[in-house]
This record gives sequence, C-alpha cells and structure tokens, in this order.
Amino acid sequence: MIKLTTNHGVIMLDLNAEKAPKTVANFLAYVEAGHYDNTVFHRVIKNFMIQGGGFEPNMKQKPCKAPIENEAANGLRNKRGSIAMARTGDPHSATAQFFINTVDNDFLDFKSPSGQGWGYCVFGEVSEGMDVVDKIRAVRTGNKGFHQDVPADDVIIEKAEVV
Amino acid sequence: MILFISDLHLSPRSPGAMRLFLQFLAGRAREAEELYILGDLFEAWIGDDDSGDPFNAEVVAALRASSDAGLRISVIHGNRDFLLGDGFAAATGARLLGDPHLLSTPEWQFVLSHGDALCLDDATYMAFRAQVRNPAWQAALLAKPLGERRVIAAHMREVSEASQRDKDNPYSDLQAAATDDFLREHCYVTFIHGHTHQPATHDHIVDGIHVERWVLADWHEERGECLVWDGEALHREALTQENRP
Repeated sequence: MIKLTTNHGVIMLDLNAEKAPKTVANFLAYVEAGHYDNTVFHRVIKNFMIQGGGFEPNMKQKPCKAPIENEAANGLRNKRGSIAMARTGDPHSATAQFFINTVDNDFLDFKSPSGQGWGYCVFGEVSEGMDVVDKIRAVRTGNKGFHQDVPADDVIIEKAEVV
Repeated sequence: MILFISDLHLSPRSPGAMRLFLQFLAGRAREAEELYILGDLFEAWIGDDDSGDPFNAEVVAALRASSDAGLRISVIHGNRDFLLGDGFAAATGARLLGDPHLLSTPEWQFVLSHGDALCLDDATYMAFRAQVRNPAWQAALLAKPLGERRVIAAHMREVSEASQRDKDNPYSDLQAAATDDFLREHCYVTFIHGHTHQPATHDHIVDGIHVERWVLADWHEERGECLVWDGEALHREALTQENRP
C-alpha cells in the first residue's frame, strides 16, 4: 500500500504489481527516493482526473529518471479511482507524473500498439480516501504561467510512503 | 504578446518536433495575440495541392484551430517551404509575408526575415536560392504532377544533404557587411531571423548605432524554442513536452 498524505487528507493506493510490474517498480522507486514529497497536484480537471508528481509548489518542475515502457495493454481500465501514468505524446515516455481518474475515462484505455491507440497505463487504484480525491477535484483552478487547470491554492502531497 | 518561431522542419520523420508544435499551438501560443513563423515550418512543401497528405493536413488543421481561436498567424517562406502559397494561407487562416517584413508594434519596431538571403558567402546556396525563388521556375514546378514533384523534392534534399556533408557547419552564416547594410536600410530596428540554426543574440554597431540581432533556435525532437515579445523586452522560452493523460 502507498500512503499519500496531502493537505486535503490521506489517499491510500493499492498498486497492481502483477499486471503492471515495470510501472509499479518505477513508481515505488520514486516514492522511496522521496521524489513525491512536497510535490503538487498541478493539473486538476473536475470531471476528468487529478494529475501530479512532477512539480513543486510554484510550478517548479522536478528532474526525473529515464522514461519507462508503456504497460497499458494489461487489461486494467481507466475507471474512476484508478491511478495511471501521465506521459508525453510518445507512448513510452512516462516518468514520475501520474493521475487519478475522477470519472470513467474509457478513451484512455489501450486499444492498439500504435500512435494514439496506446492509451495510458493503469497500475493501481485508490483503496481509501476517494473522498479526499473528490475534495481535490473540486478545488478552484486557473492558469499559471502557460499551464492550465492549475489549482489556485496549492494541493500538496506532503509525503508519499510505502506502508 | 507576440511569439516568433522558425526552423521547425516538420516532417513525418520528426514526430517529436511535431508533437511539440501541436502542443505549442494548443497551449502556449493561445496566450499570445500573434505568432510569426519565420521560415522552414516544414522540411518540405511541394505545393498547396498536396493537402491529401495526412501529415500536412494535421499541421494545417492545427494552425486553422489556432487561427479560429483568435491567434493571428503570419508566415515567412524558408528555403524548404518556399512553395507555401495562397491555398495554404486560406486553409490555415495565416497570412504569408514578404521577406523581409517590417513589424511595428506600439512599443518597438522589428524587421523579420528567414535570413538566408544574407548568406552571400555561400555561392552555391545563393545560386540554389535564386533558382527556387524564381516565380517562373516555381510555376513550372507546380505545373508538374504531384508524384513528379515528390521525386524532385527528394532529389533536391539528397543534393542538399550531400553538399552539407562537406562543411564544418552545414548552415552558412550571414555575411557581416551585407547584414550591416541590411540593418542600415531598415533604420537600425531590431532584427529577428532564423535559418542558421545558430541561436544567439548579436550586438551590431552600425554607423555608431547599437542594433540587436536575435537568431531563432531550430527545433529538435525533444525541445523547441520560441522568442517572446511581451511589450517590453524579448526573451527566449524553451518548449518541452508536457506529461498528460
């Protein structure tokens, strides 16, 4: 289990190492390195997802390790409460940033191993604290620099730990 | 706010730069009022009638979406996409500018160019340029079927790449004396150009007057750059790919 202590409450995550071994190992390595401590949910879209793990408060981007292989073809769905890896347009480019789906986002699921079809790799789900996720998804957002949908008041992951 | 970019050399062979550009158009660029593309947006453009090409169509659609959202887009021809024409302008909502182009804002004046016209020390290149910028030559080329143009474009690229292999730097720089003359002719306004792939800010003293010359950066698979005029000063802004779902 992973415990994310945020300034809105605690979110517990159940990771699926069986279905997404490389993605889980990658996420755990970031947790254990303390990477996520004092990062923010920097992209919050109420009826879509909350995304974090890449920026410190004030939108300072944190350095990451090498990108990982996309394991989105593992059958796990981007349903409400699932956690998946964010990435660039390159299917195999996920590093540290992740997101928690706040609604069922079928269109993010793997369809085919090509271009747009790759989808986003789900590697676990929220086991406790969905009420906290719902509090976060409802915060007021706006533009910061050229980032959109940034919470007006920082939503901070104070600590991420394996429990 | 005005943004300047150049030398993206977009092609299906550079998917990373393409993604950066699409992200830029949908995000960062929307915060500006104007976008100037100072040449070589495309690695190759063989005519506006090649819109059936899915890659070109995607770029055109993205430019059109930004135009429709209120961004004013202006394009100067480069040495790769010199065949961009009225069809492209109509499809994208962009306007095609002559080279050079004087840009007056309430706060400051600029002269914009691709930059290749001043590379006078490279005789081979200048001969090539004289040919491809000749309207009669262009008309004759555009009269050929698309398939034949594709073959010609591929051949031209091979010749260009072969000639570049023999040089330390494949992109020749602007000739100093010609640049000074150019700045003099344009009343010592700030000069912005691309083409050389040697991004830098140069200080010229012409007739005792200080003139700045900003050379735009070319784009790579992992990184692009735009130059930003915020009404007070110019600064460079790096563009990297955002992580998203």
